[in-house]
Amino acid sequence: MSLLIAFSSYRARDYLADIYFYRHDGVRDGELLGSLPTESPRLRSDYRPWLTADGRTCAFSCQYHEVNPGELRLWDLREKRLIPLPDRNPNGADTMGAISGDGRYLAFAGWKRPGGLGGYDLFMYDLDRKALVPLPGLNSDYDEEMPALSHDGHWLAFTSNQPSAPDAPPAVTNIRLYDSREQKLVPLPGCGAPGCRDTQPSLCGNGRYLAFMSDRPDPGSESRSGNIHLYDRQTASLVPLPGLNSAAHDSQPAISPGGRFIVFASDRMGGAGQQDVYLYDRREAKLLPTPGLNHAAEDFEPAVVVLAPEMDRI
Amino acid sequence: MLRVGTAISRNCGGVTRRELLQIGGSSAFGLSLASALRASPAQPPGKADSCIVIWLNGGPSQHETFDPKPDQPSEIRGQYAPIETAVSGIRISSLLPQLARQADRYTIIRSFTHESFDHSFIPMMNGGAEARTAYGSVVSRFLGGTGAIPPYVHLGMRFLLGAGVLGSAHEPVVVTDPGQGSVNLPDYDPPPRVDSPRFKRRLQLLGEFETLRAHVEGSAALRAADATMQRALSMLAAPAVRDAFDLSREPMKLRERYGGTTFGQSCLLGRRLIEAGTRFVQVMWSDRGGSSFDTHGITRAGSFEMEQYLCPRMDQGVSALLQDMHERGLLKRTLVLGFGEFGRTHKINERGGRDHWPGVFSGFVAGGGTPAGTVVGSSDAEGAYPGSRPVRPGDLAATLYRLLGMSSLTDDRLRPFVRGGPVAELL
Repeated sequence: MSLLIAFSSYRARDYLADIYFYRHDGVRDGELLGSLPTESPRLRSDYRPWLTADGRTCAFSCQYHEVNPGELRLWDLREKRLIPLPDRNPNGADTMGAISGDGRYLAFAGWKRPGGLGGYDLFMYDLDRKALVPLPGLNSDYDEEMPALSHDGHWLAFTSNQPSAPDAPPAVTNIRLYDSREQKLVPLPGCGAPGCRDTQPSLCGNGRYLAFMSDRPDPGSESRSGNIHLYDRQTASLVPLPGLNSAAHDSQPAISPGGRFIVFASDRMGGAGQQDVYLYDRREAKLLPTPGLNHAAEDFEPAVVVLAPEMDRI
Repeated sequence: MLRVGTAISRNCGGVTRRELLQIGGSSAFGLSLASALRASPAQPPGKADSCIVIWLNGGPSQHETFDPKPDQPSEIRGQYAPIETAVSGIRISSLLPQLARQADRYTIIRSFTHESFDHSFIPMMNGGAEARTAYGSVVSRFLGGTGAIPPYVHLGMRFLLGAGVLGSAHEPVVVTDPGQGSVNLPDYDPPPRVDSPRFKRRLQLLGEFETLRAHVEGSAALRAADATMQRALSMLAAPAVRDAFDLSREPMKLRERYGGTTFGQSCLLGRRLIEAGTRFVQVMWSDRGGSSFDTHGITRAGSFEMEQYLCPRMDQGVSALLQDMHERGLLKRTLVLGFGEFGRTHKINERGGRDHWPGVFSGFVAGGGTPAGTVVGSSDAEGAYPGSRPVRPGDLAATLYRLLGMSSLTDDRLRPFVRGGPVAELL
């Protein structure tokens, strides 16, 4: 069993999500491992898990019904304990946590958080130094959200609605890339589509591949709804994903550190519930069976790492 | 009462578990339908023969759907920019790209308004009238059916607004989860007047009809029932009716185009029922285990549910319905409306969500002789109150009835159900 998949699910409670873990052999078999414990099953909702490359740490967002506006958590899967994090945002929600593959950095979005510029801004916390990392030039007066980190935190993909002209109304959400070492934005030529909404980015370990969801027309499928796309920074072009998308809404992609596997959620027909988690193998260009993964309740927001890295080469 | 399956929808008032198929409301099985059949059907002289109401449970934000305010500060405009639509000059949220491409098929109402902050089907589903009676029941009573098919069908989560003074005869047939072929059926109760072990099995929707048909043909109890009762049961057991409810008859590609969600499949079933002759279909937003449009941000920070689940499913289901009905020529004589109980606050709360707000909100109207590619009313700069042409629930009711050929001006019996005037721009 070489792949570890984390995902959110409503299977245990009616509308409060829990995070589950599933192990897969990378071919056709897998097993459900269990879920994160919840201290207050009636109130707490856990969602959007994100894994370190070794599968040891899971970052996630959580919320107590009407108690706090949203905060981030880190769970040590080996020690089965929470890892302390800095103080909450005093102004509102912190959400959309994403941990780097090496476990050092935690990027997240904060609503009106001190130090921000707009509505949602992005922040990156250094778990070793226990301090926020400066991200000059990243945030704007608009909204920056949905961070995704490369293995060492060098590359930070995110979404923004910042328009090209200052003081203009917000633009349709698109994906941007930030170089945290050089502290500057990096162009993604050939990635965006004018007027289309690109969102939910996920980076592979070295930052070469960028998976994302877009509502752009996809000539490769009959879909008129969201589709998964893959951008290769090395060739500055989109990579075909034959057999992945459907006519239903396909979204929330997460690419494995080596770039071979993509997990995603889909509303397509034939699943166990309304929304299910699917595993796509780029090398084989097909969806892999995931026995025991999905449930009649909704399963969504998957993350994947490959515990046997040699399997993850494309 | 006959129940099949469950579906769940949630708002901040709690979770509601809904019967999948309920015939006759709380009355004895079949009785209400039988009574409904006694009503003399009339040929409606209106622009529309039938109607689909899409109830966007929880109250969707006007800012994130049909009335974006991009020039406002971030705590008002939210994260999602507007996009151009198929109609020059009309822009809607970028969260609804497929509906944007079909903006020439519907009219946006941007000035719904009332005073109730509660999650309730009143006033938007009864027009705020004194009579607490759903539109569908009124239509069932005054227009009747068009044949063997039930005149009034409810699809999705439980509907807490009944026929009221019109009596159980005009309660809807309820199908809570039409699209999930493998759904469990935990709430199955045998109908009280048809006592047979076969009815105690948990059956899926089509199985229910097969079983029902067997009983109509063979039950001594039913043979003793009055003729109208038998006719009611026969109606539901008729192959044509059974087929109308059978989504497996649709191509899988078309089913997927509607989305593999309860809501999407409800929209598709709505089209099938209209095609088969049902007069009034209610499609309720139903999200199994998920969320409604009640996006306070209390179970998930921010408006991300709008982006990740709610708007994509709404966009897919409604746009597929409009396109499918257009392609089949059904939209000309079928009125399609979509709205929720209210809108959301113009200012985003600390959780990044929006709270209840009936001051102004948006919806849409398509088909049935209404204009398309236009906007009725407007909100103010922040999207908090009507800026022009307020449309109250009573106006909505009067418009709906008028388009279906019913008017309190010509039929006094309709007066308890109408508390406003029709929106002239929609007639």
